[in-house]
Amino acid sequence: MSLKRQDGRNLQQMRNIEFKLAIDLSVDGSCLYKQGLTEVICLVQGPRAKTQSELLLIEYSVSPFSNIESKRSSKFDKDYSMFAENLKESFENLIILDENGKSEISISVCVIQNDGSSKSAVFNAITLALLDAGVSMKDFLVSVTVGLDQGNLIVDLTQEESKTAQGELTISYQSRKQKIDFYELKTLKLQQQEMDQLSKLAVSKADEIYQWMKEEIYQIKQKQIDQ
Amino acid sequence: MQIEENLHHDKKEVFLPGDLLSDETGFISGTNTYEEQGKIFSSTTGTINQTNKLIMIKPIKCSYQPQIGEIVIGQIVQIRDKKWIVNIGSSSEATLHLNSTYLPEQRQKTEDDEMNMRQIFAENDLICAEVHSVNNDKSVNLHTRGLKYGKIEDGLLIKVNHYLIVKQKRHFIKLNNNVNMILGHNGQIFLSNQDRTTNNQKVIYCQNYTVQQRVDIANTGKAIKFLQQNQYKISQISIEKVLNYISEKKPQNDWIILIEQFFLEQKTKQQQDQ
Repeated sequence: MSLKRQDGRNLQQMRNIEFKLAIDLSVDGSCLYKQGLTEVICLVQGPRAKTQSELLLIEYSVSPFSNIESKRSSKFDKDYSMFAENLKESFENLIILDENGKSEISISVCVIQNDGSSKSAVFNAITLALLDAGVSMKDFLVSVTVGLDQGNLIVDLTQEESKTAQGELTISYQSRKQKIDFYELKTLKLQQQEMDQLSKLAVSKADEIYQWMKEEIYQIKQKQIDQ
Repeated sequence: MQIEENLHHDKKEVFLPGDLLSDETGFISGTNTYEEQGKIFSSTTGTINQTNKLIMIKPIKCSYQPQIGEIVIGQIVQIRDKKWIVNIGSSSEATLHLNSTYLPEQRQKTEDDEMNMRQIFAENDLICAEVHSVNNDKSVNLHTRGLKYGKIEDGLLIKVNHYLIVKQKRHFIKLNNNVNMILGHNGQIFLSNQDRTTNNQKVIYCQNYTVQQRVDIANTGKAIKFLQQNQYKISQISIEKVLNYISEKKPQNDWIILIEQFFLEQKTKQQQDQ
């Protein structure tokens, strides 16, 4: 008999993923991304005339009401600022920026509801919003969170599960190049063998999400062309 | 989540970033593609466009890329020496040189003109201009020679997505209800009562609006906004189609309800055709 998790999922089953493109017509690209109860909104202002010195601006924020405990996030919080830097680094490599350095792209992403795996949701939301804006980039960047709970390998942790988990791994992955871009491990104690298992599982799940996401977008864009 | 594996696109029409376009040698990568280890990949979402050995992707949605001869509406951002910087919503800035502006009399621009640039166009003024040339680094030079172009004021500006605008013979349009429209290629539409196409007068001056004109302009604006929300192409024909529908039905009912009825009818027509 297979084990079930708190919310009735199988051990390696993702939550239901939904996304909606072009939710805001006043910006160039936008996306509302839902993964279970986790919700992320992302807005992209596509290549426009430069107003600042940087070519790529990323603004990452977590709304104060998103967590169970209401907590105001600040720019000086180490966790937030570190992650914002990581985001910038990985998307700088992904996006084909203007060679002449005369145009900029600004991305603002906000976690509206946090029910675990919010960091991987942020990566996916930004990728989709960039795609909606028509920004030229090299590949998809797909992200997934896996964990180890009571000796079981589980995928897409909720907030409750991440509290009790022994280890939690978030990766972002470029499927075509088979290259891991971002790697974050939160753990108390983990053995080498378990670590390898986690990485392998994360990569295979990221591949699955990549295939699924691609299929969905093909259908959306095909409809747009047919119109 | 159900994942259908190994789905092949035999007749793949849409390409996404990172899709392989060609792995043979001898092909040249065009716009919106990139080359890596001898293979050519797509870099945006769009349809393929191949001429001989050159492979390009025609994007579905992208930021506005100006082309020579297009009419744009923009806002003055900055004044520099002998030129204005204009925001037309493209990926890089547009400049309007002092020499390419209009003077009522025929003479060369003097130093006095340079000193009084702010009297011609000041910051935050809206102007209508034509794309004169596009440089290698994608920056744009504009010109406002001719009576049609220049400062625009006293009207209604509507911003829509630029890819919805249909390229037409004329972009200075007089609609059925006597509203004058400037259809900018960059997705900005300006409605007013000033007729810019007549060549009789030397300077375009603003006339006072009557109540009926105000109503007409507001109605046209609403029609355009609804066209945008439903992602329909915007042209003289499509706007007039909406306006005719409204005037036939006698707008005693609420405007918004009427417009929604119109689009519902259009959608059902489309479904029946399919």
